[in-house]
Amino acid sequence: MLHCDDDDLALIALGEQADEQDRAHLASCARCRSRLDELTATVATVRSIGPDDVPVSPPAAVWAAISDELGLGSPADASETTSVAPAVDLAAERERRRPTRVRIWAAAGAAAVVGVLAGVVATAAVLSAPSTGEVVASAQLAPIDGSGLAGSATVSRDGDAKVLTVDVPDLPAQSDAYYEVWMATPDTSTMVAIGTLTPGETGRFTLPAGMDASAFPVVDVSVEHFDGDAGHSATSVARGTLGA
Amino acid sequence: MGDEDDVAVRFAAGDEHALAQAYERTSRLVHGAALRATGNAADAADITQSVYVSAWRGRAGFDPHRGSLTAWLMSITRRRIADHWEERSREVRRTVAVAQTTPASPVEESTAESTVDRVLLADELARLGDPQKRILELAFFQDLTHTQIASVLDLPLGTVKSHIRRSLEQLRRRLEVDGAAL
Repeated sequence: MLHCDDDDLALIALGEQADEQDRAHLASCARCRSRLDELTATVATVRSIGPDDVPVSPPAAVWAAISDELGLGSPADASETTSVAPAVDLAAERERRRPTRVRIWAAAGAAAVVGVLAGVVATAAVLSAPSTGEVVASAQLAPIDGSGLAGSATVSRDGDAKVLTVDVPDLPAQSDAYYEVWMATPDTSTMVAIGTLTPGETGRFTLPAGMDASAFPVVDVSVEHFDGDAGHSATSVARGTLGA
Repeated sequence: MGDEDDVAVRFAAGDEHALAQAYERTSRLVHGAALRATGNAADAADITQSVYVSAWRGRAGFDPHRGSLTAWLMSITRRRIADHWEERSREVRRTVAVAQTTPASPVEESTAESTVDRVLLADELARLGDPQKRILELAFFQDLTHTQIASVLDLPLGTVKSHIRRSLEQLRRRLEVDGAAL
């Protein structure tokens, strides 16, 4: 008995009509039916992918906690082999999640803040899957101090949570530094560390439930070094202010 | 032997660097699924942490010759997300008087399952190059037949058919689960 052609099974799984011969064969062949069922399930899963079903890098603190819990060898060893495993002190990490006062660039900040841009942002939406997360605010991020790096940011709803999406397309990878996303008050006197931004990826951060995002409309991307200093490094590459 | 296989073998042998490398490659998938399933950054971080901690401690149960390390880590992720929901519903049952009459919901389990699958497939789709990506986009989301796709993209019918078959097969393989429980 000749089994169904694999090309045909793929097309049938996608919803195309099976021809007479394939229909007759499928009715009698368990092997081909089970292959078709697997492909059909795969198609169904792909068609159910939403814009929020995307890989998201965990914050650096997660690796530190794993390493800590497992008592792995010195963090310096780990960071030789992997860029996502920086040596992060847990207490310092907790500290930096709190609002941090940064005075150094408060004056420069206001001048560099760029106005509002409605809506258009490249999110990590998969193919042409429709967007369901309602965008509540967005900003264009302008280069700081001639960094030449521009980008965009949005805040969208995800159920009861709010999600900040940050995209700086040309962010260069650095071996001795990483990028941190901050949200700040309009005068940038108070800043909240939101998470690390990986070059080449769209950053997606669920905002803390108790955080009033509208009180921190300035979105800033800074260069941070692995120096244990919890505060903002005062070196920013891009910044903008969220607006409706 | 591929690079991923090499990491898997060293992981099973207890090489800490292999754990760090596996984390670098797969934590986006684990954390992305956990974040999507819980909608909460703190819970997602906890789940991600527990996946790698239990994977490392339970590495004796992983056989690199039976399945990929990624598939094994993703099955642990499914388990941990389901545990999270189980824990949640226990908390709810503790606080709600009608507790005894509320059975554990199998719906949540299947949601955990499909969340992981969706994130895995979204990642695989993002890796496809053209023309495969364009072809699948038209087939999956525009519901075009292969004949229509061939005409829209001006490609031979046979080329479109074999791209669809190969890409779909690649996606299906990504969902293969490792049988080992943890």
